[in-house]
Amino acid sequence: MQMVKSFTSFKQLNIVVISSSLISLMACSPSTPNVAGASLGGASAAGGFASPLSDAAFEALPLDDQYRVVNKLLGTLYSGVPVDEFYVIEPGSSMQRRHENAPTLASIRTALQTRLEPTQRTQLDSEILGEDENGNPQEDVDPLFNFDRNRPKQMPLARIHHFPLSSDGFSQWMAWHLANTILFSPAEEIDSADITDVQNLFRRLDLSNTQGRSIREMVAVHQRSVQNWRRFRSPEDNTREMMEIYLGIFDNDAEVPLASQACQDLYLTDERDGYKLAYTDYPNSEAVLVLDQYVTNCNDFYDVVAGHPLLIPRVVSVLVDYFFTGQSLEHRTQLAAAITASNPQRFEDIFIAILFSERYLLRTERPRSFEEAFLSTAKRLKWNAHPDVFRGMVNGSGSFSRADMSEMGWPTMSLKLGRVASVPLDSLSFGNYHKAMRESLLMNADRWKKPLGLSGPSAPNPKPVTPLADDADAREIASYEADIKEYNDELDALSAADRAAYDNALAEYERDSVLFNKIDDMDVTQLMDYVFLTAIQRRPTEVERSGLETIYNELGYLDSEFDNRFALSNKIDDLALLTFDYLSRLPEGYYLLRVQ
Amino acid sequence: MNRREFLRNTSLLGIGATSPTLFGVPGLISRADAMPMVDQVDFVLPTIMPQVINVFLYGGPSELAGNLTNMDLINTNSQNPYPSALRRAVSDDEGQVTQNGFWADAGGRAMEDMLAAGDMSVYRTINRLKNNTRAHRPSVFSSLKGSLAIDAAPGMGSTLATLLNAHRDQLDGSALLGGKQLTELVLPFVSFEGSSTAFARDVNGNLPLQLRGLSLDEEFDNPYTRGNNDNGLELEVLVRKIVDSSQRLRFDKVAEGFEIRRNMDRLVGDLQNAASDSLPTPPASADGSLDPDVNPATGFLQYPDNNSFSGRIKAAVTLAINNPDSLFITVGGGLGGWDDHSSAIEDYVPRMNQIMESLRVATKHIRYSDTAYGGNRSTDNIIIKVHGDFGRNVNLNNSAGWDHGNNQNLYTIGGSALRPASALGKVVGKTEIFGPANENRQYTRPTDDSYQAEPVAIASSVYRYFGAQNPMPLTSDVDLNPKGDGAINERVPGEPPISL
Repeated sequence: MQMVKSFTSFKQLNIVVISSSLISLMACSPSTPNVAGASLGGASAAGGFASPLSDAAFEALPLDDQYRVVNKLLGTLYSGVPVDEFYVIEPGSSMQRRHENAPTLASIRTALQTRLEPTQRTQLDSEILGEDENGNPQEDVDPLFNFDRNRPKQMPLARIHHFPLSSDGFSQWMAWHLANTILFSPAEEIDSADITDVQNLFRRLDLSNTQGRSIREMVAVHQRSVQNWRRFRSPEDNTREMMEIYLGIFDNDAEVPLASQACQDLYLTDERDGYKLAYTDYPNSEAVLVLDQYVTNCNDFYDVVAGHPLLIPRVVSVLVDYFFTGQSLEHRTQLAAAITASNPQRFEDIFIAILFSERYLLRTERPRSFEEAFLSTAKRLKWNAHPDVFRGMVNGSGSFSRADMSEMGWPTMSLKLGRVASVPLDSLSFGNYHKAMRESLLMNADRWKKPLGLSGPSAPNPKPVTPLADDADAREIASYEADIKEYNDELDALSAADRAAYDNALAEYERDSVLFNKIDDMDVTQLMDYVFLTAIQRRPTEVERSGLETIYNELGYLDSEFDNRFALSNKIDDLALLTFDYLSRLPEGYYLLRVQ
Repeated sequence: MNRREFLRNTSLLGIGATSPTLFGVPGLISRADAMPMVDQVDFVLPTIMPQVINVFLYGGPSELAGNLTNMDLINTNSQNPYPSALRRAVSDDEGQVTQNGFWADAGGRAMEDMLAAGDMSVYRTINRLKNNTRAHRPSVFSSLKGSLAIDAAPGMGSTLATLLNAHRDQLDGSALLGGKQLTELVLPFVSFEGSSTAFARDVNGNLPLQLRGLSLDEEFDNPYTRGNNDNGLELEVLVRKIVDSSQRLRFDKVAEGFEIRRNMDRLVGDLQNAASDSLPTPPASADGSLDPDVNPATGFLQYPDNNSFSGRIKAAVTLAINNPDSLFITVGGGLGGWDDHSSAIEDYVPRMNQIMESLRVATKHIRYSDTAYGGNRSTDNIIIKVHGDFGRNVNLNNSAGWDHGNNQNLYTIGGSALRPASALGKVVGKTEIFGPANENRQYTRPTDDSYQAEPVAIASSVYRYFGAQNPMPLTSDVDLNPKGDGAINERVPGEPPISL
């Protein structure tokens, strides 16, 4: 009798809390997530070893360091800011002033907590898919990206890439990370899991993030899901792994049979019956002591795990191991302790604490994952994305298969125990990584040379008429007026839809022309700064300037009329291409660098 | 303002917390690696240089394919019944039990063939007593590192490389290395599984780049090529000026990748050629029958089609045969393949059959590439070892699967020149089952009179082949295994065939 009483009181500590939160999970309406710990349940900003980099400290950094920090943060988020959107590019200046609209830590922080308007989000999805809001293909609108049966893996990357910096994109990014770690991998590699599990699990993670669900709620819900059981497929396997994965307890073999006994009522059907989670109808009736709590059934056990004091330190540690891979054990332990001490309630609290910490932004150096390298560089290059890019990255299909991350030892939501903390850099994995970066992105000039202003843009048809020079003579004026009339006539003949498309193309042309003219005005020193900053966020050394200028000169890229101080206008893209090839060969380009 | 106007108008041409106790819990933060005690090893040059292919079955395969000797009691005590054929000899109404107690459809026939040919031995009692665990991570790490210090120790490939590097004075220029320096060997340590724990590095060590693990894929795909750039050499010269020693240290793994890439382009190209060559032709049998692993149309050996292991096994064996410099090769796959918690029999049987049929071809690929059969080198130094995380329960659980266990089989193949005369063609170890009937936790374990070895003894055997007379220090650690474990005793007599 005494035991039963004690049992109830033990359970109340955790199970009541979790159960009530599960009810609320179903009933709550979406809310705007907060950042930096000012969030539900008393989380606070991490301090000590995980203190955030303050806005004042950021502003005090030299401008190039600011650019590096911003791109390190954005790169981690699979994004980036092009040089001309961070620096003021003006004649005679070597990009020494910050653009008034340049992103800063503060603006990024604000963006990450700002939800897209529903109509905007729908529009962005429509652009990705080439479909209207009802899922019907839109006439005359090509989808930005092609998908295949692995769309549930490809769509998150497409959204992360195409959405502006926002809470919506951040939620996708967080879900992507979580679903690729040991914490929530759908383990598509094993027979019992399939792409539907990927889709459902990812969707649940994304929704939980956007709805501000707590870590404990998310773990509690996930443990009970069929996705979890398709990954860990027997009571013993499932209970063992829950204690290992969510609590970091690897030496609890004695308690595994007891936990398994509590879960004996559940089983996974076989392939013939569709790998369904089913009840045996023979539930356990004996309370067993597991993790210092009495449990009778699997719900009890899952609540004990989700309410356990080790849960938060463990999930913090898993994420710290990933973002701070290569840091000493002592540093990672201190970081995890500091973040845990801030009482994080949601995964967002942990991610924000990590991403905005001074230690991460200024003092951490680690290899970039392929997503961090490729997608951030693509943003800085203003890359005209290949429509097969995410098919290629995720499953090596389509005409962008060179970027297959599986060939880099970095498969997507596939591994039973998730991706390892450190990016695989064995010779084969890195060979594929480098080749994809170099050949599919940096050497693919047709997809960046115009948006980056390295080649004169092409005017849309009808081509706008060149403005009349101040000193034009009568004949030139007459010709100009005739051209204007012809141009206006052609515009008038366009349908409303074609006219709208034309106006967009014209605006893009004018914008690109402005940038091209600025780049064209750069001398070689400034041009090299521009290209280097774009690719690796630093300016060239004197050795590099000298060495590359020698090659430029040999190849006839420089304008002898101006003592080789400028690139020929029609060789700027070739110069950039050669320079990108050089930069693709530098190890530093494959790292998120420390700034101090 | 265009550039020329700009120039006219300016004169810029010359511008050039205290850790909480929670963090003491193992598993919260991953640790780094450190080298075991190489200097305590008594090293004697082997008479023949070994080549070892380590096939690791991630997830932990059941031992039943190679051990049905306890099946009557297993079936009696199991929560769910086994097919009755597992208790009948192959000669009895489609029974599944072979002469040596193997599971016929689960690779047992191929195992019997390899045993009869003197190509393989099966050790049924690889049993973890020290720091016993049934968790994947410590089991995988201890097996592939050859140490119970799963966080601190480097991989067994790295330890082997360090051992050899420590004895370069004996190895460099020796006939064993064909007169080469150790660091001149081509692809000495290779992974066919990408980044492998077997090549986890010693963070305090300073292994030469040439002795670190490189990875290839089974197609010998060559991502090391670069599209043409007429100025590539000039760019490389500039890269070498910029990537100085401090950068190589700072960005070590990527810098190493670039260093390796320079040679790999050509080397992998050569391997692609070797891989496309025909396999050997076995000699005709006395009765004129065709070897079952020969393609009747060509007369050449061929690895089985529609077999998920053929590609990797063939690639590893091809590399070993064609490149005697490859000393240690790892083959594996993603975790989950052998983690048969549910629907076990329907998945395990064909999978086990596939790997054993591939291995049977591998034994012939190796043998018939030897000089005795017209090949251009001796191949009796090539050893294949097949093992996994751990064995599994023998109880069929309510998901029709096997949960994590302990006792497992080691399948060891080839390398007759490096082993005692009686080492191959036998089954070693006797087992019994224990654990309460009708509960999940039922395992096999070695009988009291049986030989048994720790899983780390497999690594110890590898070190022994390469010349470590006392490999125990290489598998030892202060906390969990102070004395370490010696090599598997290959002189232990085999068990007699079973009778049903």
